[in-house]
Amino acid sequence: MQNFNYLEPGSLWEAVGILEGLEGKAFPLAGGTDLVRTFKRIGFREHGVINLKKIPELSGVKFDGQVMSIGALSTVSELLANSEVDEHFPVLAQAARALGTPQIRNLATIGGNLCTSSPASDLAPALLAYQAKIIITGPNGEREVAVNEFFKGPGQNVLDRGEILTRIDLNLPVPGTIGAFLKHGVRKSHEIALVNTAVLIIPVRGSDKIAVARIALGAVGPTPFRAWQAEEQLAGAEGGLPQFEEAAKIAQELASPIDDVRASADYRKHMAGVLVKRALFQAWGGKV
Amino acid sequence: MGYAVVGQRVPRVDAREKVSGRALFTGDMTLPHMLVGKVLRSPYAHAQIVRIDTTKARSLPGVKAVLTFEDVPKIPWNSAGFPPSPGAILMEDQYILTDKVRYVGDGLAAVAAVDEETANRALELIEVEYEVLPALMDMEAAMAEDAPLIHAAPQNVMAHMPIVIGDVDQGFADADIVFEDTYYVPKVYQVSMEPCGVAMAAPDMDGRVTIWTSTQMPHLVRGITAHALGLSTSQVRIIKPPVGGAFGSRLGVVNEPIAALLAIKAGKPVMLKYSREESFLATESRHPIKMILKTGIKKDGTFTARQMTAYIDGGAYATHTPSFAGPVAGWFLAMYKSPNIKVDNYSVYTNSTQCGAFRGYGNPQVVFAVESQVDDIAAALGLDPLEIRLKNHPCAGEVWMWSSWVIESCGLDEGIKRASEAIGWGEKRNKQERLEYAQGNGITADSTKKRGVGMAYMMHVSGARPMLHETSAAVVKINEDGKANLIYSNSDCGQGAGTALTQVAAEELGLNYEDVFITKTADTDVAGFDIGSHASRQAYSGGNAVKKAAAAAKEKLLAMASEILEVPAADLEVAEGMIRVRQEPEREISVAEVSHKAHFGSHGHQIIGAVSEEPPGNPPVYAAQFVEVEVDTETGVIEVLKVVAAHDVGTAINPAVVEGQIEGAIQQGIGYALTEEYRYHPGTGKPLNANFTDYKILTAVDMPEVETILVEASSESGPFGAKSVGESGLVATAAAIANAVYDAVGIRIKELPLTPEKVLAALEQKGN
Ligand SMILES: Cc1cc2nc3c(=O)[nH]c(=O)nc-3n(C[C@H](O)[C@H](O)[C@H](O)COP(=O)(O)OP(=O)(O)OC[C@H]3O[C@@H](n4cnc5c(N)ncnc54)[C@H](O)[C@@H]3O)c2cc1C
Repeated sequence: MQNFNYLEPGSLWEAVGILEGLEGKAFPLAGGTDLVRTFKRIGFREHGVINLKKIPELSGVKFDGQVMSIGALSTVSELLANSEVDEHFPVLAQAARALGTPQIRNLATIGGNLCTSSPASDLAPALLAYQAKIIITGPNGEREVAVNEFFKGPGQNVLDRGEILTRIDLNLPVPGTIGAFLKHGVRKSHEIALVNTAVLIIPVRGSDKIAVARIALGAVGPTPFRAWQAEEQLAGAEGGLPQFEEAAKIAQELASPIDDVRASADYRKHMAGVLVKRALFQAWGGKV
Repeated sequence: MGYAVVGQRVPRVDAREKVSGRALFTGDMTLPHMLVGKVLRSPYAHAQIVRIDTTKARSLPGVKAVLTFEDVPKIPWNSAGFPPSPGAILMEDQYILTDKVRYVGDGLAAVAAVDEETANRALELIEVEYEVLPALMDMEAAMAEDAPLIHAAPQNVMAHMPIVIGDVDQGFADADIVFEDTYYVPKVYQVSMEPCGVAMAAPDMDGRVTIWTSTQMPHLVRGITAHALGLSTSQVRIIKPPVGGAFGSRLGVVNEPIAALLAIKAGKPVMLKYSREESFLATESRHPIKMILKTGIKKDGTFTARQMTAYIDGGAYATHTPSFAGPVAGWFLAMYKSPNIKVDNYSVYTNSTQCGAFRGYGNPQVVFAVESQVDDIAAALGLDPLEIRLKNHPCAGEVWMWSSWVIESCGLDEGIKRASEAIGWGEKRNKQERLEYAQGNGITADSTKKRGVGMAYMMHVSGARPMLHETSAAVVKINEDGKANLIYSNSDCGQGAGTALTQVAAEELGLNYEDVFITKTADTDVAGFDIGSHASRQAYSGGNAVKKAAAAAKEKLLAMASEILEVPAADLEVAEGMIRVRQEPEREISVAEVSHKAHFGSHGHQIIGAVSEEPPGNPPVYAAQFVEVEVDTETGVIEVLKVVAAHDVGTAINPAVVEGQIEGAIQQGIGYALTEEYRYHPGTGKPLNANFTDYKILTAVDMPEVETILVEASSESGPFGAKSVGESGLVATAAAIANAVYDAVGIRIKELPLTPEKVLAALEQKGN
């Protein structure tokens, strides 16, 4: 065990105050699954943690029939156990199921997942597809950021000095929305995505046409991102494998993955296309 | 067979303590005033240490010992756990700490301090100046004419082992076709649950040092550690608590000498526990090998010549490697009969972490190459892949080239038959039937997923004789309550050997399994000399000594019973703790009563049987593994759907333990085939995946259905006919998977692991 400073604010304002004062010296602690690894790298001794878990406003998942508000401290397991998440936001549930291992899911929080801002986050593509709003509290009060504006680069986001992510709001998708989340890795579990994708399709009622498609990709760029051009390609188009292949090709071109020990950039890019095609096809009701 | 205890699925002797979390592993232990040890590791793959200054570290409060090359005995040693034997080529090129670093992670200084934080700070305070040398990260670079020398060996070749039988040139001339292929297998780690490298050392007032260590080889580690420290063997005492998996990684000295030297210098107990990362960085892995196979064959499938040139990457220190080249040749020689065989094995130094033992000891490497090529040969000649193997493997009664001894028993043919039926070989190899089946099940011809079946065979050892000594010792003492202690240097590292040996003792004594207690902890001050856990030897070699010790005790027991019952000892039998007259079973006396009389009757004595000897032989075991895979031609992903593993293990002393060994090994075998590879940056030599995020061992969810078939072709010389099983489960797996992939999509990948990227590249090449 190594010594480090530990602070335990009881309210959000107290936490914001501490964080603002100790910027760079102390970090908010949620589930700790990323933070402990960061500390191993940068050293425990010089740094402190601000435990967020005693702050009541950050917990709980609420659904009023239109908006789902997910407290930043909600764990991935809590999302999975919540039947309203499963029913109304099934793509988020699929993403949650694909994250880590049972032990990690029990600790990992949705807020921590976003604040870590890993390009390979599994929850981010689903939240991008649902057009989540991120609610942030800081020294200047509360502000709201669309999830597609939240990430700024690997490990970087819009959080400013003293700011804490407090909750995530999701609007109920229009009835009939379909979707899928797919993750590709070397293993079936305990895996960091080489590519992941979340897609949502809103079909034109009573036809084979697509009204709106949303396609989000992870692990193939500096941040998780929406493949706008691919989405535009599908808007108003017929649903079907040829169209999905076309859209997947566009999405693939938007991918700018890196080469590393996990996979080559070429393979990741190739798989971005395959995964988008398969996710669209699966959402549409086909098998993969 | 009619055994009472042997062949039964009794619970393991260590099951309760392990599943309840009560077992105390070395890392769980503590002693009063215990210090924490830490090792300073090289950031460079190859560098001379120009200056090292420990002044600041030494003056940090709480630091009790700081060691560098200056402080270690100038006695070169070799960490490999070998007994001095004909087959042991032990190049002594290591010191406890080095003055020239040869891989990233090489230990150059060590500290002992009151706590971990102080120890880490002390490491940071050690100033080192390096003269960086080029990092030789592959064998080609290391063997280049102008390559710098890692040790003194010219061109960094530590040894060359040539073996010639007959005349291969003639053999190739006699062949109808000659095949030549190059195979490469990567560096992979054992990754036992307990990281490798956990030792706690405590010096005493009499010049001795006790080391609790997570080892496979208590006695050999005692000897090597004593040698490295400049002590006499008996001045070191090794205690081996439960071990959290080993798979070869603890087959020799790991960090015991560092822990011991720190403890001696500090005059206090020291715990030296490697992290997961250190256990990747600084402990021995499986050997990467480049194998060039040249095989001449007649159209009818008769081999005329077989040749292997193998380049074995031993890493930065010799340890096992020059000796390891022997079994590598042995596996190749013994698999298939041919009048002409030639092997050239080169052992090469590189600036990677030294290699050592990993389950199979060279056999998985060789079998991958040999069985891949045999599959290609069968396909090219239009021969049945099963037939070509049945025709050419050596059988019972023939000479086994590995040992030059006659094969005692061989269950391979039966295994091939039963496993091929279980996987549905006939139907699945028939492409037409397969297509119809697929269509019938709604799988369209343009589906990206293609299925195939493949198989591979292997043979393995039950010890390392005659290359290495296989001494074991056992003492059986019968207590006054009629229950028995089995004193044995129990080097069980999770494989279940302690359980099997207890069953052997109980069977021989005629006692219930529950009434025999093996020493769960090995202690070199207590148990007789034993080689340890290597070469799948515990059941066969340990079992031999245990059975004889039990028989010696039983003889004395029956002699006394014969006096009491007034019948000749030859007419008596023992079962379930009761001694009976064979013809008159109602005349009986309990073992407890006889033993009590022995202790407290007219001549007080305890009935003890003791034996120390080598087992009579080394019977080979066999396996045929059949695999069904599904290859996704769009993603390149290979999914193993089912593995059928038929293993001839001799008598299965405990079938549940045997099946566990096979299934666990198959998990490692699939990892070897598909996902595992320890990688270095080619320029700097820095490891790229010394962690569980990026070193991909398979999880429970990745495991396919595994069906094990036990073929019990009992040996003549083994205890109750036992042979071995510890290593063999993973030996054939990678080759079987590669062959199934070939069957599915017609691509032959000659380099493990079979990653999706390699699959896609091969598919593209085939398409063009
Ligand atoms: C073995 C393992 C497997 C994993 N597998 C996956 C996987 O498959 N997919 C995946 O996406 N991730 C995975 N992760 C990463 C990690 O578990 C997730 O990102 C997790 O959601 C992080 O949440 P946490 O609560 O543990 O964050 P913490 O570690 O507590 O925090 C992460 C970072 O965010 C900051 N932070 C946390 N909460 C807030 C807040 N409310 N406001 C401001 N800053 C905050 C912290 O200061 C820290 O810098 C894995 C991690 C491990 C160790």
